[in-house]
Amino acid sequence: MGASLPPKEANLFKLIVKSYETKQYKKGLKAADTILKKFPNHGETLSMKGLTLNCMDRKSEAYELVRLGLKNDLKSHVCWHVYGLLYRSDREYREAIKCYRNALRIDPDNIEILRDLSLLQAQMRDLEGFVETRQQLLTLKPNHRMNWIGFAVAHHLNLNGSKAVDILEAYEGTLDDDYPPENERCEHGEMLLYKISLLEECGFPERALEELHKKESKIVDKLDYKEQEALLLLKLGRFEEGEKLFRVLLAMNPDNYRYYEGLQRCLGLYSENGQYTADEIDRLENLYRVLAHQYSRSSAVKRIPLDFLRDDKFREAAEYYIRPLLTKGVPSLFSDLYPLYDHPGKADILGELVLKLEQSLKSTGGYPGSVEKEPPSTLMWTLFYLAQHYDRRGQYDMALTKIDEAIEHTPTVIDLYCVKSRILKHAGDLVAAAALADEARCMDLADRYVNSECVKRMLQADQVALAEKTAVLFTKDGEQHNNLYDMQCMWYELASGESYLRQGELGRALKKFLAVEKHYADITEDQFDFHSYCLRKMTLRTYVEMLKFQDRLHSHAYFRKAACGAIRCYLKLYDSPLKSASEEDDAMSKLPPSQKKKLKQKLRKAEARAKKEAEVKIEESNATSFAKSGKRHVKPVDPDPHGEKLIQIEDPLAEASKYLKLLLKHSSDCLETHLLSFEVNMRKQKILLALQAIKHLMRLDADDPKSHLCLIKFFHKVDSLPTPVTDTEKLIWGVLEAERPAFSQLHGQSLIEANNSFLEKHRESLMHRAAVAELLYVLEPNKKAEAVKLIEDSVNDLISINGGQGNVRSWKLNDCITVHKLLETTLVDHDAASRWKVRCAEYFLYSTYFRGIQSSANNQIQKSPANGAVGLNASEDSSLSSNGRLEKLNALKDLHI
Amino acid sequence: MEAGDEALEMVDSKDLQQQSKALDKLTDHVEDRQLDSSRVQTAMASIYASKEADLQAMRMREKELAAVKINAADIDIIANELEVDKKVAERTLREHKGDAVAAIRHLLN
Repeated sequence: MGASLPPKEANLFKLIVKSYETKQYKKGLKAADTILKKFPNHGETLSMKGLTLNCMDRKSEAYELVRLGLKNDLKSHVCWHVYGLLYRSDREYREAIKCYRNALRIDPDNIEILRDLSLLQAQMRDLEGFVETRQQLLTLKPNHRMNWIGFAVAHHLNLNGSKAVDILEAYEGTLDDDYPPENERCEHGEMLLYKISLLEECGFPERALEELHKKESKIVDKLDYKEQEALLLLKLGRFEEGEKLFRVLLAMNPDNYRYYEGLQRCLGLYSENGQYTADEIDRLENLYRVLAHQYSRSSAVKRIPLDFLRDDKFREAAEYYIRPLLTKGVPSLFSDLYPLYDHPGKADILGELVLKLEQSLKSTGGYPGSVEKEPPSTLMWTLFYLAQHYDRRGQYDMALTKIDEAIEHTPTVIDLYCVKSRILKHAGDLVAAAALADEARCMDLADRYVNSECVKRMLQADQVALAEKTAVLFTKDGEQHNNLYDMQCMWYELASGESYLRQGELGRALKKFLAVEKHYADITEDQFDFHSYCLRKMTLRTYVEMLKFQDRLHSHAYFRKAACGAIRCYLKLYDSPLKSASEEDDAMSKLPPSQKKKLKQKLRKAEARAKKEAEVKIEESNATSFAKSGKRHVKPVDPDPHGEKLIQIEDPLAEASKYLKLLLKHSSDCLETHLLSFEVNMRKQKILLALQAIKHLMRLDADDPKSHLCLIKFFHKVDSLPTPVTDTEKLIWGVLEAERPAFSQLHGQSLIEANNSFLEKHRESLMHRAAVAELLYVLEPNKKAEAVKLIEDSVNDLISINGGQGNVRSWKLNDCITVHKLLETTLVDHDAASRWKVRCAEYFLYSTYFRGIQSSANNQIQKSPANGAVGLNASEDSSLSSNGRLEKLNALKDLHI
Repeated sequence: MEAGDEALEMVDSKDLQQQSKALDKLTDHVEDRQLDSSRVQTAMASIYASKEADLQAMRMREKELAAVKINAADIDIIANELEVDKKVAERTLREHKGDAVAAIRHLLN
């Protein structure tokens, strides 16, 4: 480094490097300038100066200098290395890798560059390259521990676990017998546990167990040692020993569900789907009776039997479980029991059971068969449970009766209002739900959860401005709305994006969805620091687990929702492009020329003014933030806060494809992914990709009405294509010919016939009939009346519920709304649509969409203010002041946050 | 103003130095212990022995694939219609002995 300089300057150059490493940038800059005074063209100095400036937030100068430096000294590995570091700081990892490779061509054995390269390869999952680089590092410096570990991990990641074991064993072979010294015991123990987990992963559980026993004294994490041992014994089928060990673990922590599972497995009493024979149930019951005696304070031991018991035994156990929790007043009781509602018959039993408790409490003040009086709150919690029970079963009327009774009993419990708000949401009255949630919020202004719940309800009711104001009450001062972005508050961004999408504000919607996408990119970035840190700290199992988590990161539900939302926005943009300049010109062309000129001038002036104002604002905010923090760290202001630029794109489908690719890669088992893929690719005329979507849809669920829609639409389109001429068309044709027989639905029948047989198969289901009707209209446009009749003839069956009072109908609110839209916009039969609306208003009394008689859309006046229907019709601002508490809260905010 | 700036700068760099020190402490940067180098040598040798054979097999497969005759136009069509990288298109085509329909059907799955 700096070899071509005379001694004095060479020393200065070393100073630059040192200053850079110790973050004394100012000093480094001075030294660089001193050298450059004498040697203005010295490449390495120019590069280092650039790198230093990069750390001082002078990006453009930095790139200029680094590039100039490289140009002046192409043969310097320092210049290439610096260029790579610059790219790395901007997260341009591919470019950075190229630079490092060039640097290594000049200096192949440079350890620092190799190490930097290996980090990037791990980050980019260039696993073969990672193995290679790690091997080079080990060859160069074999007496460093970290290089052995790094090489082993590289092989493991590259799916070669047994090789990784070999390397770790070779590494152990280099150690003395008395290893490790006292201060490295934890690290060494972690390495051993990592090796054991590798052995198990490679299918050698015996060797793993043997190794575990052999190294017992060297493994520091004793709990993990026991857990591994128990799991390995289980895997090896040594059940008796396993059972003993799991019982030991249970004695240490009787609330760990995994220990119970392990114990059941050892006893041969475990089934994945929760189905057991009568004999097994008896044995399980006995097991848990003994365990419950042993661990009387454990709640797991009481809760687990509810999963496997049935009928009367279930009733008995459930009552025994529920009673004390109602007495104690545990608000989460319903959530705790919620999974049982998917077990056949248990929902009915639970309903009957709690109703019986309610009756007894009302008549005697105590539980049935008990002489003891319960405190009054027991009745309230019982009603609270029943409300949620009826809500879960779709009996919204009953649910509301119960919750109102509870509220009357004790009007001060916030949970009651939250649940009432949730019931109303399910029943279809989003506005009233939001108002109630706001009422709940006002009962405890310091509760962030209630605040968030309220914000979510407001967004569901499309009250975005109000929601924003409410959400901001819990963000830090100053930053306000941006703070939600900085905190990666994704539920908020998603709900807000969905709301904007419903309201047709695509720019703002995209802004929110893409923000979520950005968060995920940031999370991917965040792993970078761990590549070096974890290898050094030997937290290998956690490290590999973290990498695997990162590999699946984009299959997370939030990302999926954001990507789907963004794609929907782009589809809408494509289907109805912006009313852009041409339309404005149209409006203007109607004016006389003199006025036109004036108007144009006016517009221009207004624009200029707005621009200036914005600039002043930015400066002001910079100034204030400067004054506050006392540092020059200025946050860049978002130049496009409302996503106006996001919708002014040339090719919305190309943008959609970007996110679609991520969905296809990470969520290929979701129906929604392929439905969107179909929509995008049909518009792009990519027949083969649309075919791919169809194939996946058939694989996932051929009976889904949406899959059926896509299938028939696709082949309808294919049949209407002209005879192939070009090579491309001929090739596509060839593939279609080869693929078509794979669709059994179309064997030996026309599309119309296939549509009919689908109807025969799913005659009873509303959504299937709707899909068939839509296709009928697509295939034979003259049969529109028949299509409408098909929908209108659907029957909304009653489903009776044993034990409970009242009945539920089979149609779902959202489905009926979809059907209404289908009648209105696709089949364009307004009469039928309004007939449908009237009909559904009877089924869904609380739905604002259908204007049911109980909904807030119909009768704001009748509802008492306690039910939160005040100001529903008023604009958002006035309802904000009508509850009058928001302003007060602003003043209070500093107190409790 | 100048002086103020300077002072600020001083605070800044001191701040940064402290931060950097704190970070070093946190990440606990220690030089690795040196291992016994004679044992290291034997360990290294045992690891590298098996690597050659794998490489050989891989090279053979590459050679085989490179010999397959393919239609260059097909590569473009596949890359364009299925929106895949040209390298992927070419490789799949070679793996299917130049049969474009078979290659596409493979990529569709």
